[in-house]
Amino acid sequence: MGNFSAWSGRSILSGWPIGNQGRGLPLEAALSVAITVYLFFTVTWLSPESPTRTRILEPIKQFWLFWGLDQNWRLFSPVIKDINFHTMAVMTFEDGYRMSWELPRMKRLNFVERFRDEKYRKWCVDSLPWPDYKEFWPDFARYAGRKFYNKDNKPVSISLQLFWIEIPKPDDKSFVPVASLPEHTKMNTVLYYRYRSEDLPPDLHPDLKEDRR
Amino acid sequence: MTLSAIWRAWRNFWFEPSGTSSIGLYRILFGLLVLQVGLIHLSGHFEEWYGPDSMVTLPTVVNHFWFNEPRFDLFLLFPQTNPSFTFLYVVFIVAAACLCLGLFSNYSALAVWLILLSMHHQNPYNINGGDAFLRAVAPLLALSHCGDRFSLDALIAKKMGRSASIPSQRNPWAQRMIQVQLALVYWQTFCCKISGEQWLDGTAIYYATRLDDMIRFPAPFITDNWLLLKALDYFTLMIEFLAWNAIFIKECRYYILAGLLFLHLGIDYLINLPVFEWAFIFTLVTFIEPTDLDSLILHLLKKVRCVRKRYETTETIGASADSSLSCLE
Repeated sequence: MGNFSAWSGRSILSGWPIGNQGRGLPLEAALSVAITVYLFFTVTWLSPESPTRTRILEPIKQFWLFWGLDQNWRLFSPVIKDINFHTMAVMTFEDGYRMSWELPRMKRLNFVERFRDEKYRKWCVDSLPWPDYKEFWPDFARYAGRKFYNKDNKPVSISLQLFWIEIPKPDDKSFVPVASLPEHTKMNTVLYYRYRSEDLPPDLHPDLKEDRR
Repeated sequence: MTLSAIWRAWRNFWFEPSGTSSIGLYRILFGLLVLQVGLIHLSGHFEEWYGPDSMVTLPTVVNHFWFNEPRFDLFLLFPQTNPSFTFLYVVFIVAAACLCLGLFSNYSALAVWLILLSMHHQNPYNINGGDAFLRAVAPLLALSHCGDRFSLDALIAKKMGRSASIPSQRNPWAQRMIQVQLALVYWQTFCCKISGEQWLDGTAIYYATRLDDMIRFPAPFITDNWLLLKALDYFTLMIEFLAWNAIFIKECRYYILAGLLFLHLGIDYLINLPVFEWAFIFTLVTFIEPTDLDSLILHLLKKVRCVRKRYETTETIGASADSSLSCLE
């Protein structure tokens, strides 16, 4: 079996014996029911929030989410962001040295790097600095602590800064050309994290070192 | 209109046998996109995104995204170590390559879906709409007759003398589901767009082309032309409206496909969103009538043969000229 239909003369996944040519009424009826149910719930899922929608989806919600059947295609809508922004992490070490780490900033990367590292932009710039994701901030701080760990000069704290600027509003008479977009001159510190000993890489953790001795 | 007429129309749409070349070609294109995700965007970083020391840890994801409810995650069946994740990455790449080549086509599509789903549940914060679309379509591809054409499966069946048992036309319900899935995307995005102000007042493309971290190629002739920006805004609304209804009408279909191709290529040129645009462009292939695709392939093959023939003739003439020259010498 491989492509079952091609090799063995029977399609298991596609559920259709060869030669049937789509004319098996019971199977067509069963598939019709499955298609109708699936499309009914998918269309409801994609509909705007309402109490009716919630009531309809309640019985299948667990199953739908378990199998990742939930969907959302609000692509560039209803509102497109009207600010430009980037993030920067500033790490302070034991001796007072401060290191700034600019998370992948697409504007400063070449075409290949931008294409390859898009997932970093999506996470580190598009998601991480926003309050909806603050639950992940300690994870991020520990990740950065491990990434830049130096046993002779350990990281003490990290802060995550969001630099931003509004895109100038256009009107029929004037608008800003892309080449003249303003720099991101406004800044908020969205996270400050002070490292604890358990945030250090496990093999270098002082308590573990004690145990090994 | 009678109930039996509705049932007949329903059966015609979902179950009337049709050729498998479109879905076969789509399988290859889909596999290529999955390979792009694996080899370009995740290569060398799979453990960093999904492994035990990831920058997004599983316990936080379980709390934030799973709401502490069960989710399908194949990765949890393996020891939470980097080598396990390396192994899963290799399985992902092999499954995508098999899907492209059409080897164990349906199983490969199933494996690709389960791994994409596990990746989504392990870390849902690094993907765009294109990745989400691949995940939504993969199970439908696994249920289709995607390995009947342009595949190693078909070649092996031929070698084994079983090619006669593969009908040229198949039940297309899974392919229709993929088409409907794409239509649902356009339906929701259109409804959301017209519920916002920017798309209606014509400033949406202005803002979209000024997100400075997403600019791919500079195109001032488009992005700095106010009238064109407005026209593109309304064109997007119009074509996305037609893409979930009129696309199913045979007479209009190819015009709408051309419009959608223009829309997606335009976005792909201006905005850096890997996978996103091509996931939709490739899915448009499923709307091409298999008979039309077969004719096109036949036409292209004829052209290639013609060129090869011409080349061979030139080579023969060249060779004979060479041999005549050497004789003379």
